[in-house]
Amino acid sequence: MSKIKMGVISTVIGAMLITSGCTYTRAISQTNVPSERGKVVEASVERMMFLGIAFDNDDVPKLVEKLRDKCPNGAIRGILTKDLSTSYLIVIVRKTIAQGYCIKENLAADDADTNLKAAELETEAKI
Amino acid sequence: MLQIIKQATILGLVIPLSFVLHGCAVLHKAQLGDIDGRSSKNGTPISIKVSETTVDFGEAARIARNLGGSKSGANVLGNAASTYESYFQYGPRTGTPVFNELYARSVPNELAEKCPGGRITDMISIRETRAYPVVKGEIVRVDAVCIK
Amino acid sequence: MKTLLRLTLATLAATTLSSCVTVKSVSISQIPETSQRKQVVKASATSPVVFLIPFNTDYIEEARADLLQACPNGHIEGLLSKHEDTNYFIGLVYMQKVNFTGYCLPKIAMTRAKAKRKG
Repeated sequence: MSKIKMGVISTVIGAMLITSGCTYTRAISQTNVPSERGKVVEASVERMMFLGIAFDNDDVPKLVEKLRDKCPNGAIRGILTKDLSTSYLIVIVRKTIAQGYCIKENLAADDADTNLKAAELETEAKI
Repeated sequence: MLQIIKQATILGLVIPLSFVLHGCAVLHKAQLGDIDGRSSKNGTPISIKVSETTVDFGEAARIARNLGGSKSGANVLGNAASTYESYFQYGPRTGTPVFNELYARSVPNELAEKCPGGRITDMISIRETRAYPVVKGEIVRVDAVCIK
Repeated sequence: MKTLLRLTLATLAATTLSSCVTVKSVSISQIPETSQRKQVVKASATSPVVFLIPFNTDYIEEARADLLQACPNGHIEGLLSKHEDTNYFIGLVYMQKVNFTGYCLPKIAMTRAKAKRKG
């Protein structure tokens, strides 16, 4: 029995050591991608948690502010959000990365009306 | 002697941990929407939090009927079959299983109510397990900016 | 007999749920008008995880780059992003896959709309 126990414990510790530092993807999402794809901006928030224990998730909404600061005079479109998790034995690091395209504000403002106008043009052409 | 020390260490960890973990927050998923450059100047921050325990099941049932219903949704609320079924769900889970998957359906309407006649941007959607002052449990939280 | 039973159980365990696909996350962005949903663009990328060791997370960027290449001059809307895992060996060996599917809207429609608005 003690041999089996030792075997299980060594397997678990071995697995933890082998997979230490491995990064796993938890979730991804992508918003509409603009045609203007000049400037790429990226921001991330990281949280180190002992045994995966955290008491709040208040760092995650700060990701929006961090990303906005990277593009102060424009709008950010085509945002790819990645949720990653890396474990280092008893410490888990949770990282959320957001990457998007910074486009000029007047172009972004046009985007909101453009699709509607394009659809109107199509309808008029049919009539 | 070694056994006593081992047991004391385990107890010394388990009991405090059981108190401490009670206030844990777990982040399951976060998702960002497009960011508008005007929001930092003209926007008003808004936030919505919903959890399974804050939803009126009667309202959820009405929504489900209007949307055509769902297999294990509002029509079988309170039905023991849905409880039984949940124990046999296989696959990755986002947090503790909930028995009514419709609880987040009201989020778009609630967001629209908080920004009447405006435009909602800079949205971040968070799926978490946490205890806020009023809302607790399995939570869907949406923080955004309303531009008028 | 015991050995045979153990072997049978081990084989069953190893092959059970093989090729099972589970969706880890899914998201969808704003969908364009019906008249604009003409050109569908798709991209996907995979990355294996062998005995719980993933090799990279760059496959997501690869899929995104392929998607952008499929619609180089337009903009992409109605994006369905799906992240799924296909299990090959009792959860120790699996394949991660990311799928993007969307509609490519040409820039011409935008240019015409802007010209009409200015005119």
